[in-house]
Amino acid sequence: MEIRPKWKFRMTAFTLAVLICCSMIACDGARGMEVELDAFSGRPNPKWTLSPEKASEFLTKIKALPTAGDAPHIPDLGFRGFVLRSGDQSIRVYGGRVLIEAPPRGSRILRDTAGIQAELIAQARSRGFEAVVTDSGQR
Amino acid sequence: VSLTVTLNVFSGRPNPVWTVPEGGAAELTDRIGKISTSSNLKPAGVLDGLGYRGFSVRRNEETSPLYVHAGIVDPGHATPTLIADDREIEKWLLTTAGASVDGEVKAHVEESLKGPVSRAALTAVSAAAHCPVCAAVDAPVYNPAIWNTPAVQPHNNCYNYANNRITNTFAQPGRATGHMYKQLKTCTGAGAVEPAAVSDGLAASANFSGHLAAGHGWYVALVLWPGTDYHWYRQDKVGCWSHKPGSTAARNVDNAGHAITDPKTANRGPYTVFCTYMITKASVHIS
Repeated sequence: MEIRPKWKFRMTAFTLAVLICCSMIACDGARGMEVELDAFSGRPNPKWTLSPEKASEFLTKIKALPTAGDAPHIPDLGFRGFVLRSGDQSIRVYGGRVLIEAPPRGSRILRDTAGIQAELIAQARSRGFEAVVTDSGQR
Repeated sequence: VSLTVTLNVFSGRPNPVWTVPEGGAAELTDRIGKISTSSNLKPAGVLDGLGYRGFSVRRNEETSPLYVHAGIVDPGHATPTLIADDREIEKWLLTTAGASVDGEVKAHVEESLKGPVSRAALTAVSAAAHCPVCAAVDAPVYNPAIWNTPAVQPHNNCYNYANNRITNTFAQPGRATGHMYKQLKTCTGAGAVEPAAVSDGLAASANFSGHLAAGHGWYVALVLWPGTDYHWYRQDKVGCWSHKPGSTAARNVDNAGHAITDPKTANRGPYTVFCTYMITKASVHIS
């Protein structure tokens, strides 16, 4: 069956629109996000993946956080926070702060006023890492 | 004599490297010579992925580089570090980069250099430790620069570091010899970490004071976060102990920022159970 040029044009335009839309969502962080519970020394740290929707929600919240003037002291041993990775971006959540690590432009330190760490702790607990976040005083 | 300078700043891309021509070495020696405060502590490196991580400087005729970061000058071998009051040496090294470092990166480093000298350095000055005697001839030299690189740091853990062996496998006790630990509740007994390490070739020791001749290894220590994880320390040639917590940087301070004269008494955070000292050697098998 031969497709008429008019329909060919419409199909191409539709495909392009879908591709552009998907790429825009991806640019907004909706590619899924890896969460690493940074706490162990000998064993590998636990990791899990957030859905694109949840990742997008987190990134939207993080974008709206106010700047903090100080960085938390992160201990050597024990719970060192969560590291969120999306594409090239790496974000550490610890001690009421969100550290966006983006060399070479440097780091940005934000105040976690949106309860991001609390939500990640709840996720860690639901995955069986209760002792990891509790023994380190993160309640 | 010229200097080869590496700016440790990138995670994925190769770090910028440039050469400081004749006269640079003399200027650096002069600047370092003006520092009068020394310490047993060495730069611990910084959190992975945070951008600026200091300069490595290699003189032509030398094999190991000098490491300069956060006001600390680390000669890179078993000698005390020098603690500067300011970031002037780092600022000077940056001025020698010329076009080797682009404007954006330079601005990032300049911004980082506005900060004070590292807290670890200040701690070192106030609490310079008296390290115990190191009785092991083979004890490794504390040289975090080898471990704290993007290619090594994320893939090697405390067990790699204690055994002074880079495998890039996040080595697990017993895995190389088919007896990997199965539980983390107790130090000894079935499936515990200590017998797993013995299977790899390590041997328990009651203390770290017995003389170990060349070829007989060095002292390490095993601790437990009961039911959750294990951790290892090693005694360096200088006599104090150092460690590498997971995929983070190797360092020679405990959780309170103090030099580690004995892992049994160090601040170990949640690793509350001290299991044992052990002896490891170059011939152990780990993976």
